[in-house]
Amino acid sequence: MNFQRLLLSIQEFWAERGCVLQQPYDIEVGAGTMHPDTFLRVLGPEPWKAAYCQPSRRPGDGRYGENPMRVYKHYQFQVVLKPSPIDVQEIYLRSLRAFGIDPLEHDIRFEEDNWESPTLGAAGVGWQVVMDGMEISQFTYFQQAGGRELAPIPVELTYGIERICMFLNDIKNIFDIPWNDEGVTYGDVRRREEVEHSIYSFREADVEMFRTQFERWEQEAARLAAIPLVIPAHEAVLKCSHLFNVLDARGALSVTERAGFIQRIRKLACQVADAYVAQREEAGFPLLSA
Amino acid sequence: MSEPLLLEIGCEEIPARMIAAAAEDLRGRVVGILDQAGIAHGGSLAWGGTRRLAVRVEAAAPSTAGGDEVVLGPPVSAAFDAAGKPTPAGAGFAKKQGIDPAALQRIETEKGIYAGFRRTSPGQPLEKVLAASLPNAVAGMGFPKTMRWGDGAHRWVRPVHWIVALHGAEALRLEVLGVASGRTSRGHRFLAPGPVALPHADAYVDALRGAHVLVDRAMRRAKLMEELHRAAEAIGGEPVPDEALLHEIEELVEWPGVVAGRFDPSFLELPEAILVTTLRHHQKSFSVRAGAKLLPAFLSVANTDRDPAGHVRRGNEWVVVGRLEDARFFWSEDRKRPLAARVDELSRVTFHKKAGSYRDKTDRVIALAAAIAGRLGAEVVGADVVAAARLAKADLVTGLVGEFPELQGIVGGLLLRAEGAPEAVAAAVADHYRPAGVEDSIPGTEAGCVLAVADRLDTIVGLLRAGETLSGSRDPFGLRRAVGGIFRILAERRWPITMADLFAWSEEDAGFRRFIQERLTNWLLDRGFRANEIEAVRRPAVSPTDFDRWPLPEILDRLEIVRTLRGRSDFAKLVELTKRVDNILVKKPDLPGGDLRHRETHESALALERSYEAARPRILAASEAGDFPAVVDQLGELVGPVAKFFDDVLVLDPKSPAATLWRCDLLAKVRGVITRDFDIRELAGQADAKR
Repeated sequence: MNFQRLLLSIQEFWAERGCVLQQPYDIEVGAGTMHPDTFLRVLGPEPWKAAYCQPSRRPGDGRYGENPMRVYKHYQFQVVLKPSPIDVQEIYLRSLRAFGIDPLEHDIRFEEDNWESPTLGAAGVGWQVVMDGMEISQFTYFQQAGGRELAPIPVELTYGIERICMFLNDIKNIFDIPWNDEGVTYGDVRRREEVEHSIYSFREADVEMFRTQFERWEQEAARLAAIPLVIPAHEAVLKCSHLFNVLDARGALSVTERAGFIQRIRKLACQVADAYVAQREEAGFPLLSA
Repeated sequence: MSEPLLLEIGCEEIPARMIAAAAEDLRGRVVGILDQAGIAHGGSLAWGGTRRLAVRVEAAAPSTAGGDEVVLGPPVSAAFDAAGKPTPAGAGFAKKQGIDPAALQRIETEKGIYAGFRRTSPGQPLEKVLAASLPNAVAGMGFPKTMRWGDGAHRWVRPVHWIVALHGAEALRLEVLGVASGRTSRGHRFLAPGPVALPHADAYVDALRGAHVLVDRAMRRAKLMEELHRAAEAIGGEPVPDEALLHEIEELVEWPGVVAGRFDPSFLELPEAILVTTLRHHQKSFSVRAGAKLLPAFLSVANTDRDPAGHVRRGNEWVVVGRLEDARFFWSEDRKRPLAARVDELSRVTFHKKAGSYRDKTDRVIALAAAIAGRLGAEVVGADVVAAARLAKADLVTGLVGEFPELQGIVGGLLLRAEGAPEAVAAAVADHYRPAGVEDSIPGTEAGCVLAVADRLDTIVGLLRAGETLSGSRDPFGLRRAVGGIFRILAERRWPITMADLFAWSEEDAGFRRFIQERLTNWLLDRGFRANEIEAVRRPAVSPTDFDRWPLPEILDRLEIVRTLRGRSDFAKLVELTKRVDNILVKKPDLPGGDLRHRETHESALALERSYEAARPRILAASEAGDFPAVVDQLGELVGPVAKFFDDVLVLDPKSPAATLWRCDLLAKVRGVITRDFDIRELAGQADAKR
């Protein structure tokens, strides 16, 4: 199964199960969790189901397109279901069948792996899903986000679709993944970007500009959250988070400075979360009656 | 009728590290409910798997014992009128209780006289007892981490899906964490996904086994071992034993199976420790050995014993090869520079924010190691120790230790051997984190032991000064383990190093002194000595020391001797007699002046004096020579004469102050030798003391 077919099947699977089929967020993020359709929608009492593929940038994981497994940017498929259905594990396993994975031919295990995002003030309890010794998914019952205890509890499922695709096709190098059946590979589509972003993140990024930008977006996020303009404020937080990731990859932050940056982003994320919940409450939590 | 009680809580995958303790916790709570309610029962068992916790209680009675009970209503003054007829209040009470008002009696209690009646209660049924108490007991279980799910109404380790409650063949109706009980369990998630109906509590283990779930950890271990050996034999080897890994894995799977994977033989060029650790650390896999050599193969444990399409083997091989490539990359990168070139990089690795970097620690450990080596004298090659101390922490900034923190020290040793450093230095660096636990042995060389002690001394002093300490079972910095390592090395190497030496090396830090003294007592208790034995050795009549001035091996030798006194009746007698000596000497009267010369004529008193004079030089000599068994033997010789003395002689003789004085002096001298090396009075009543 080629890469785009895999993506189409998983989208179709979750669309059929009542998810809002979203599109990737158009701002740099490190994970699908930061998309407002997860980070904000998990807050408050309203039900929510969404699924989308989110290109996720991890500047520190860039390997100049030379490592067969690690990349600056990967495609994370993200599903969020709130409240968590009691049969969510079964549904998840059915989604694997949609890729042609027969659990009786594999060893699939749920191994404890609790998740925490200090920058988002978020934490959850769950597992990494391990298939034949490989981690293929993170499966997390969110307990807090934006510093707030959650109720109802959302569950987040993320799929490492490159990995799954490599395994299904018995491919050892991510860049050899067939993107479609026309002979175009993942490397043809993405390798140059990997090389350039690695060079940029590790060597070229203008540290002073990034520091200045961080300060500016930090101020902007706080100002917007106070108005409140929730989505623009959230986007400003995402900017800060990405700027921080690049500074970190660039080796520009000392250990204590790093902890300070994380605290600053977390504070903003919590402000945005509060503003979002207040806004929804004022609107009467419209999705409660949906 | 008494029947076995079976409870099973079915849930989503419980973290492996929590299963055994949680099952035991549940067992304790269920038994507690039965005991508190007064339901008779037999023994109990706890089982668990990734998706379940279960408890079986033998011969549980169907209900509480029941018995006579008194039901009290209003006070007599309110319940009966002047004519003794029930008032409306009295009649109302009777009606509510479903009895004839005429049957109301006057019942006297401590608080006054009430209207009421007596009845025989039928006893509360088991189902009712459990339905009332089990939900809170389960909700209150102590997991290291819990969660909420769905609407967030319940909190437990993972979402709960089913409850089985059977008393014999009867299904009990209860509700736990929002789930109603029944007789239906579930088997293996994939191999037997359907419901498993249990006709009887006795059917549980076999029915689940039929559904590819081994609920008993021992059964899982047996299958796991069988599969590991079978798979290893098939490729001509045997699994490299790894008890810690087995222990973890047997809780990760309900139906263990093993796949054997292969990797390129060129990876065998990696040092064995790195290869084995890569496999176990990242992939929870066992290495395979044929004779002295590793095979280019590994054994991975799966939650299934089938692999019809080879996917399980292929997937594990894929990941293992990726990990081995990482390890090979680090091993080659790390060898590009000598380890010594990394020492200064340690200044950017924090040991503790108040105790500086590992570079700072390195300098302190060098000084301590030199001091210890100096104290031990010429047989230690001090230069090796100092060289090793300088390099000991440098592997913390290698790629391999970054990847496999558990290989700290070992990687340093491997790199040093690879660069041709002296073996004594390499071995000392490799071993200096040992003993890693009670099962591990101390470093194999003198230099390694010196370095291990120096490193731990610095850790303890530094962390205590930084305000870190032990609190209850919490020991985030491993101080307890560190000090235990020091004690073991001092004891097993039989070094002449005293606690006072340790205090001196800490620059007489008062907190360190308290910590060492307290931990030493605990460490001795952990080795099976009793508190009174420790006190007997700690406070001999000759120079009580608080153990400070004795080398640890000597403390242990003395304790071993005292331990041999357990259950020796002659010594119980001696202890008793010594206490009697104490009691008499307290009563020694103030004697008048005058001529108190006394010429003893009593044969038993003279016999004791002769025994004392004979024993004293032998006890002193034996004690000087450290021959404590001989001391004890000599003390044994005194039992008879002292006993006879007390039987025959009046010590406090009111008619003869001179005799009293002479005899008291004799007893004081006898007591002096008896308590010289061990204050055996501490052992009084030892025969009864149970620890």
